[in-house]
Amino acid sequence: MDTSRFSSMPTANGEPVFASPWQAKTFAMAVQLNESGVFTWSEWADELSTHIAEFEKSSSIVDSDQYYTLWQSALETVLSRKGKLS
Amino acid sequence: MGDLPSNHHHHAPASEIEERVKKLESLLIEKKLVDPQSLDKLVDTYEHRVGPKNGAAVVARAWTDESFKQMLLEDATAAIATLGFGGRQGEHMVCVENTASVHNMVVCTLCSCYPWPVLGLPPAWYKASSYRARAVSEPREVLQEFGVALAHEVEVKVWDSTAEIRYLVLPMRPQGTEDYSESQLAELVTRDSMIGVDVLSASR
Repeated sequence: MDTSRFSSMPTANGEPVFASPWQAKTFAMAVQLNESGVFTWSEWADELSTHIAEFEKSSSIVDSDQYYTLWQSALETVLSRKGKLS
Repeated sequence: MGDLPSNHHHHAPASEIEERVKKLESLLIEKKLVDPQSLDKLVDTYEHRVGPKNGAAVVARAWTDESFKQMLLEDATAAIATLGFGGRQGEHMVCVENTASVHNMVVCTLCSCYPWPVLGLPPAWYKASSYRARAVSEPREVLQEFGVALAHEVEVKVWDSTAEIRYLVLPMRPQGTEDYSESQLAELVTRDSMIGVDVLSASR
């Protein structure tokens, strides 16, 4: 992908893409594990959706800490199911 | 790892979640399931390299090149690839065109699917429960909160993204930009206009 001509430009209308380093880390782990074939993106989206739906039974996502906490939970669940954590 | 804190901890303290992420990362590195350098590169890509400027280039091209626009509306993935953008989470793109009679807006009701190659990662509000529910149930009210007041006769279409299909809104070209160059036009295009929660004007 040629993105060099945009490399010095802001990417998200001035907002930081990640609010803290752990958000970036859990994001990147899921993307890399998908690309190395540990799970498909559909599997991932299903897992994340399930965690979000469960959370939203009793609460609401209002900030990115909550969102990426659910992301991390989904990641732990999918890896556990695939026997990658034992 | 079955005893890990679950998502029922509604808002885990930063230190607790930091520990969880760090613990998982260490384990995955040890098992050689992730590579630390690749993780850093991935983060750098989405923090600094891929973002709405890509989408703005697509929109400006569509406004100035009718054959590109037709291609974009027929096969967005292929059209966008001609500008060098594609790959991860942009494999199946669909472009929807705003007109005087139709306004399109995009949501992912179930999670946060989003066209990364052209918009980067989604803003916090796109992932929030409120937007994801209300974009479908009361889109006009949501648009008003974003400062978009549509005439009654304008139809609002809401597109629900999935893991398979990602949508890009082609906003209407602002009036008074007939003399603008393609790069000047690209400067006018906001991220939100490509999600469909902003309407563009020449005086940005």
